[in-house]
Amino acid sequence: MPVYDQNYRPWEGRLLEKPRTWWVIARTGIRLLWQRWMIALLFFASFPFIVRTVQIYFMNRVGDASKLGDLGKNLDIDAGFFQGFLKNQEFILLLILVTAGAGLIANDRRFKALQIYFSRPVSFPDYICGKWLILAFYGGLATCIPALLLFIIQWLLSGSEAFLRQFFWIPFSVLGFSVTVLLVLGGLMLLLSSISSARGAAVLFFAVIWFGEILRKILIRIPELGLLSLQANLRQVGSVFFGTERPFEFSAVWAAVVLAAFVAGCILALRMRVRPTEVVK
Amino acid sequence: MKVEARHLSKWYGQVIGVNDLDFEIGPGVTGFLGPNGAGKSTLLKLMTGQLKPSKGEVLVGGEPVWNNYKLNRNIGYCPEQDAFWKFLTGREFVGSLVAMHGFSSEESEKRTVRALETAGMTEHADKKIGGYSKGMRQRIKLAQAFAHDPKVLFLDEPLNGMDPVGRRDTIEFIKKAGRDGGTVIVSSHILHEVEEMTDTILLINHGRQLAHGNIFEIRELIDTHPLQVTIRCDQVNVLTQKLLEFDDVLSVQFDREKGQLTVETKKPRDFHARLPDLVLKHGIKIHSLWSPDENLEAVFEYLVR
Amino acid sequence: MNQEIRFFIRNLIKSRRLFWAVLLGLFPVVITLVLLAARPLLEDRDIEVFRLYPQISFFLYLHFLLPMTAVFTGSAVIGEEVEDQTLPYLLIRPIPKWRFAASKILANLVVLGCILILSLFLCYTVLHLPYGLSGWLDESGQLARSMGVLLLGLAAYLPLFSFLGSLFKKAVLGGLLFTFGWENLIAYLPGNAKLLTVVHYLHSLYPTFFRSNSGGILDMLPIKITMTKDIVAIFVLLMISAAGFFLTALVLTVREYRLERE
Repeated sequence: MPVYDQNYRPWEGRLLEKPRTWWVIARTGIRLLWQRWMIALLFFASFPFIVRTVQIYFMNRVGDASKLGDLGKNLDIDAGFFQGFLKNQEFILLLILVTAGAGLIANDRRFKALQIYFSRPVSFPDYICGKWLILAFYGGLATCIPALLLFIIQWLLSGSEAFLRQFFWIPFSVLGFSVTVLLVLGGLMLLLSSISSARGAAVLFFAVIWFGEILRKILIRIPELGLLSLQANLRQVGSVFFGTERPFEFSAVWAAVVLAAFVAGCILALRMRVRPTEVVK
Repeated sequence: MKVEARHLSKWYGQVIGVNDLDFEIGPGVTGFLGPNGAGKSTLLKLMTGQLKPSKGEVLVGGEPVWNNYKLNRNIGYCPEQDAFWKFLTGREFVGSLVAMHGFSSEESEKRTVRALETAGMTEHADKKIGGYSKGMRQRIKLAQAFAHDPKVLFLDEPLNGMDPVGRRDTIEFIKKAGRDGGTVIVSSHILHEVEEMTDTILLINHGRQLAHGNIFEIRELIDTHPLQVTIRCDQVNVLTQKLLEFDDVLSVQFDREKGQLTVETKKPRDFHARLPDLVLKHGIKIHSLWSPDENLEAVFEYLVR
Repeated sequence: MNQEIRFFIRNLIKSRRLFWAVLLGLFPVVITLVLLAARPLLEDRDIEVFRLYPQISFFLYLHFLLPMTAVFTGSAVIGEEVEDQTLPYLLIRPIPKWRFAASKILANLVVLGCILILSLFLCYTVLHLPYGLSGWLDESGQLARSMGVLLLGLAAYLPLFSFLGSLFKKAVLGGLLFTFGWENLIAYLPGNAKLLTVVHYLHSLYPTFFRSNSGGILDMLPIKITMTKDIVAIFVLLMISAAGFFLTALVLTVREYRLERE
């Protein structure tokens, strides 16, 4: 019968020179969040996908959209179709980000887990990257993944290479736009989670997004004020990605600048908020 | 005031919290003992009406506890959780909770001051709880539990995180509350703490009641478990020889240099009855006699094994 | 009950929630000040500052501040005590459980109501500054009515979200879904589905310049939405409020809360 040494034994294997801690954080977070609420939200998020799939099938059966008159214009499978799908997913995406992200940093702060993270070889970029990837994963399940699937479905059902030749760039646009949306909204969610409780972060997230939009609606006669609305900026940039008509009268370049500045501001603010120790006053 | 559990069970879905507990606790200090996860906190929550029994009932002063808010006048509870409204000062925390018992504002104020003083928190009373040390938070939690002079005091791990001085003061306070006629129920998994407070224990493990009563009586009941007795005397050899003549003595270890022997007996009561005659008959002078097995740890270890 | 209400008001005043509520409440006022400062610029674009009051009070208060504060605090009435594990301190007092629920909702109603009303008052006053006292008085009736509707809205939303908070851990999500999802979608649809929203009754009561046939905001909608009579709307809102109070109290009384171990 073998006798085992019960004492402490240090790890004798080789450690990675650059441990991928961000991946560990992301993987754990994704696993922990795979719960009832999240599954329910993803289930609801799949409804528009199903409707759009039916639309693709229908339009491929009809063949020529012009046969349907005005109705056909809205049902056509083109760049606007994919942009429209992502726009429809906006609200459910906000709910998913709130569910996944409100507690991401807030709970780490509440349970003093930041000290535990930063006592390991975890740097600030690792931590934020890991947390953001959690949001990107769940956000992506409601946005770019179904959008890309729709593209594949359309390609499979169209039965010709014409669609692919004409719209080969759409997957890149879907990816680019989804990443932009997730960078902006994910950055905002993480920032709010770092300054408030999970409940507060959830409400503030909606507050920030709605506030700009409401302001834009009140002063609709001043189109430049649309730059104050994250949603308006994202839609404006989205129209560039998909090559569709600009929905607002302000410059898309300025919208991109505002969004980039916003993300940079979020990272800077997060840098100040995410610290291993906190002084209690 | 009497606290009773009658066939009390609580389960959470498939998980059993406590299982068919049946006991009666009178005035004085009683220790609820058990390893972590034994069901002590669940039991205290059932006894304070925070949880509804799945089966059986809990009575305090003969009345059922669940949804009987009037009974809370007689109950004080110090929860295990380190949870507070951290933005309140210690004085505001205790004061506002005392006031909810229906005292006038002067009376609430008086009781708050007294409770803070008893808990040794007067000096820190006007600081926010968020800035308190763990020990101070324990003290302030204790203060809110007894400020309204309850007849029954439930304390869930009250010594957690306290420094030695805090522990001593709290143990003294608990003992005094018991001596003054209050019913004090203290849960802990730290045996020597409970041992310092009381001889009366309720031992639970896996939600089941293992033993209830005086620690020494419980020890005696476990007569199949050998008891060790250490004796220091002037004639170690003689006493060793004589003791080995009895069937119930399983072993004797002796240390001549120290003048000490340790007997292991399977019939403790007979052993204790026989020993005085034996030493008188052989003129053996006994300097000291104690049982390393009779402390709570030994009982605990034996019962939860 | 006095004692409990005082306790909860004090807690609310000392907590960080008040900071956020005040900050949210100040936002429209700051925006209004900015608009006032930019008055010449706005007038160049044919925008009269004081004519913006209806939009500001409708969008910023009725559709933004009111639901935001109600979701934030309503879901926390019981939820926060459970999450922060402070509930045992309350439940162990010789006070029926329903009184805790009712007192906390009332305390929130008082404090948040004051913030909302004060904020709206400041906003109205700032916007009417250039037009003197007479300008201020001209539409003060509308201001009073808006204040009343906001209070009624808070009285309906708060107990409703408290009820959600007493049942679910993710009550905030439910609240946001209800106010910004369901209500936003349903309140502007023809038919009777809108009767299943709170905001429809608030719309019905909001000062006349929001109503149809008076050049109000609803006229801008492509479809005609029928409003509910004032008296019926008030009755329904009070009923929602009472039901919210009752259900929250009931849940707190019959439900056991198992606090997570730290």
